Amino acid sequence: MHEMSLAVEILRIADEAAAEAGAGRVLRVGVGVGWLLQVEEQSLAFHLRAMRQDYPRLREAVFDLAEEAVRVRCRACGEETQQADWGFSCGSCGCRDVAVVTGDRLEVQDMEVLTDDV
Amino acid sequence: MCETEGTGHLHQHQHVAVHRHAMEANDEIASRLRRSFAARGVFVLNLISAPGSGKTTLLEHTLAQLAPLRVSVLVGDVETERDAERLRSCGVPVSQIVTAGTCHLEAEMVANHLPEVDQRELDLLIVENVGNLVCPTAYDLGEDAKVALVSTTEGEDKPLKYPAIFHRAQVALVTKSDLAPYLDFDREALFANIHTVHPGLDVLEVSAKTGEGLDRWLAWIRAQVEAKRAVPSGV
Repeated sequence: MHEMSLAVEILRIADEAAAEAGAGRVLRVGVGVGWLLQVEEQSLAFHLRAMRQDYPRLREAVFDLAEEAVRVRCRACGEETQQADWGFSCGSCGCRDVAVVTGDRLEVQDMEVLTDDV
Repeated sequence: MCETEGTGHLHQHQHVAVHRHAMEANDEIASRLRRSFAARGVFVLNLISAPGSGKTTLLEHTLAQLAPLRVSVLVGDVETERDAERLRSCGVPVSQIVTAGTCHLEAEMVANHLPEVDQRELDLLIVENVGNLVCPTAYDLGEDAKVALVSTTEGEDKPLKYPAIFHRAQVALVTKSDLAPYLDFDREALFANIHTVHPGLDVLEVSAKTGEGLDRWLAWIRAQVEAKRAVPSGV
């Protein structure tokens, strides 16, 4: 259910970024969905579509959701490797003392916009 | 690239890099809370579990034994003041956060309700989150430690089905340990599953009903409070 709260934040950020860029219309918003956050993508997409009507700049925007894999850095050997499942460990040396470097963010990455009349 | 619209107006088609985290507004408030707690040496716990795992009952028994620590509690529920009424009888300041549908607590709710329970010197703030193993996980409340609770009646595979909270927790509590003999409860499997998701995580077994294991849980809290107090703010 927290997908609705997340959708509100994504719309707020996209609308703010569009205003800063002087864009009257947003065509596409790229969103990176970190695997670690356990976000239900279909639910998030539904809420984005339903609520974009409240933001005039975003009414036609397509939201491109792309899952972002978890990558960890090993505290022993320093290697950075991608993880396929829970129980993270270094893909190089097998050490379990690792720090997550990607996959824990829900990020508005980029947008295609039409700026106002020039 | 320029294109002409039907109106004859020219529009510039642009690519805009954004790279902003959807949790940024929550995280900013959480960071502010964390700095303020650090400056005052207040240790903050965020208790997270499925509904019915025994958070409130465990808290009743915990609060009764934490004196002389100065404790306040914020408790989140979708509806009613029932949990706050139960916890107030323990003699500590309690504020109920009624989320009216929202499935988790956010840092702003903590910031808004904090003044109700934070009118004196404080050693420990306990936040009892809304009963939910998924949604509260991603929301930083400015806490020092997330505590994941799982009861013996819930099944050994809970940590595998809801891994994110066990991954982020600083300690796991297995509650209702007194019921274990009456259930097909596989203790070794639960521990193995917790450690699959979070290698080396401290797991404490407790029973609010019999008091079994409460001493270790209370000792853990007291040690954390002591450590927080000893660290000067800003270090």
